[in-house]
Amino acid sequence: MKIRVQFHGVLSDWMGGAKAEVSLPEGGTFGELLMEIKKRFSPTMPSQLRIKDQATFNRALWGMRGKDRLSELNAELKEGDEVQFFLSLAGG
Amino acid sequence: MKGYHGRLLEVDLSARKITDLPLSEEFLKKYIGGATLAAALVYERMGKNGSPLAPEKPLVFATGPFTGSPLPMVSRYAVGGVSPLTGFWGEATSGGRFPFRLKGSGWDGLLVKGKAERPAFLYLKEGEAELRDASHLWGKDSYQTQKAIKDELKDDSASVACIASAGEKLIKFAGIMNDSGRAAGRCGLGALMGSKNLKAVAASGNLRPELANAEKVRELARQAVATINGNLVSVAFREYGTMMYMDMAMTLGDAPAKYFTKSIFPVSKITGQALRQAYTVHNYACLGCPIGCGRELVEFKPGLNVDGPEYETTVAFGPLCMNTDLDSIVRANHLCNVHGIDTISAGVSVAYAFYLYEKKVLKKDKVGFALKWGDGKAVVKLVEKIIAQKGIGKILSQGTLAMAKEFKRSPDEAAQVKGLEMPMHDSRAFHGMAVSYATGPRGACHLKGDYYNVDLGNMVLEYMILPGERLSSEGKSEGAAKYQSLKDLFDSLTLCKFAPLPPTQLCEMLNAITGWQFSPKELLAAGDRSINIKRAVSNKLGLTREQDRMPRILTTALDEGTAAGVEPDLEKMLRGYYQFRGWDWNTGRPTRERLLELGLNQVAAEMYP
Repeated sequence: MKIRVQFHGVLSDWMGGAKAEVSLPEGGTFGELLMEIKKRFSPTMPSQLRIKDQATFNRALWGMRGKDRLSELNAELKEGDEVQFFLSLAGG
Repeated sequence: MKGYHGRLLEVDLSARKITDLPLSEEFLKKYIGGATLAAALVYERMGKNGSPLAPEKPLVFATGPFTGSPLPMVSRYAVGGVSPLTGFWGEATSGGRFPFRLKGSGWDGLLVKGKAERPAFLYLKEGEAELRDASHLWGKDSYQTQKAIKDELKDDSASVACIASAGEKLIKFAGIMNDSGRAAGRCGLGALMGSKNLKAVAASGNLRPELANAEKVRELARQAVATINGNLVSVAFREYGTMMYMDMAMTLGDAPAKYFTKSIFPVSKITGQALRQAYTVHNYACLGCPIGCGRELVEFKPGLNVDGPEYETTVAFGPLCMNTDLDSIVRANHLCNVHGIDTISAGVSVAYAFYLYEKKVLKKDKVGFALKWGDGKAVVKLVEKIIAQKGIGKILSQGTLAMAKEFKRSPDEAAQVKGLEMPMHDSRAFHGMAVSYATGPRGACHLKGDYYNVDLGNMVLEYMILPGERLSSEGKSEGAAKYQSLKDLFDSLTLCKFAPLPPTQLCEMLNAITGWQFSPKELLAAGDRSINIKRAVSNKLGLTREQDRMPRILTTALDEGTAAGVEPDLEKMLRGYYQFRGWDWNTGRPTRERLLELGLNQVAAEMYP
């Protein structure tokens, strides 16, 4: 299945673009999406965003589906889902 | 005494008298420095009555034990006094080079009282201080003033904090500017400075107090730089400054729009990336900062470089007015920098004017032109009118509470707390912010504490300040109070709030600098004491629980965005907050027991005679 992914703010620089499409097997999860993103975009990410040897990222990386934050790695995704990624870093 | 000079410069402008004000180690251990030290001195010396602009009201500039040390992100200073805008405790902080130079001049800060007969400026350099004539500088803008003073002194290493026309005209939200466009913007302390005919303070020198354990401080500095550089926020701020947060802020409903009634706007036009695409952007770093979150736009117009804008300013002159014309936001920000105005209070007052125009309370003939939401040119024109003190600008320059009164509107429409305009983090998106805002020591303050950061995932394990559900008011009181105390301490130490350093590390730093033995628990108690001494200043000026509130316009549920449909339960959070703080629900004052527990015996004796 295809999952549409959107990277906001500085993430779009680090991922080489604001939009991407990621293929996952049917019933794929948010955790698998993160693994796929990590695999594909690792070379351009700052090391602070990655957590070495883990599928997960720095906890500041938020994925949102619609109005809801995807906080569980085992959250199931479905064909056509759009996941928006932000950095939950604020100040000023 | 280590880490401090152990003295402030006391300046009586009326008598043209300059003396040393010795600071005992016991006093410093209690109040640490910066804004807390300022509050303790203001409490002692402000008297009970009179206008905030009465000559006898003190104005304090203060550094902290961290300032001027080898630690990173510590070139900060605080200004404190009775706020001309709120009538209660007022404080503002700024970075740049000035704090480093102020400490390097040989004093920990200065206390100014009285009123100079003619405009004057102070020059502090390595243990020498003089009061000089500033008649020729009166009327100059903040950039011109800084340059003229450096030229006159023939001292390139001098750094200048000054007021511009807003402070001279006693505009209630006038700020103090230093190092080009850095601002101690909030609470109108520029007007307090202007009321004293004090145009500027120039500081120079490299006198550093002895450190208790210099080697340890250097080691801690290396560790801190590694921690800061290893933190994702540093990487992101370096890229796009505070505007980096813009997309996320709108998605969360944290960036207010249309005078706090909406939360959706075309965000992509005003992000950090949009700024970089539109202009040549350079980073600006305060002295000793490895991040560099400040922005400078090179050749914004031929021959003109401008500072900023930052996130707060961009939202205030932007979506809050439904304006996404970046050029007009940059212009409005630059006008505020040039004339020394707080961009938050100015932006919120301008947005309120648009709101009143839509409600047909304000008419075209009164304004002089139409106020159509999103009209960037009108935003700039209103800022110009504020600065010129002409027509509607004179009313806007009083702030939103006075505007509501002037136009016979409910005070619940004025976006402020205690008279200080609301910053650009919406408490409907982070309910814990409602209690932080309602109880903030200077009024609506997004820095003490920035509880939104907690619910975004930034926990403080030593104090068990843990993230929770952002759209819930459950279990927020204690965390909000503790976080407020912790962040208040940053302005005592003095340390930039973007430094991601935990309390244990802060204690190690403080102890290595001073030779004291603070534990994280004692450090938090110092933060509690700081909140309480500031509260005592405001209580003395008439503050009660009645002022610990949020106007309805800021809490009414939004009808769009991810924070739609929910309202923070302020009373519930406030009761928990009062209980944790040991404040009396009926009077809004700290209890006698709490004051004694914090060692504020003199305050207790005066408050409970």
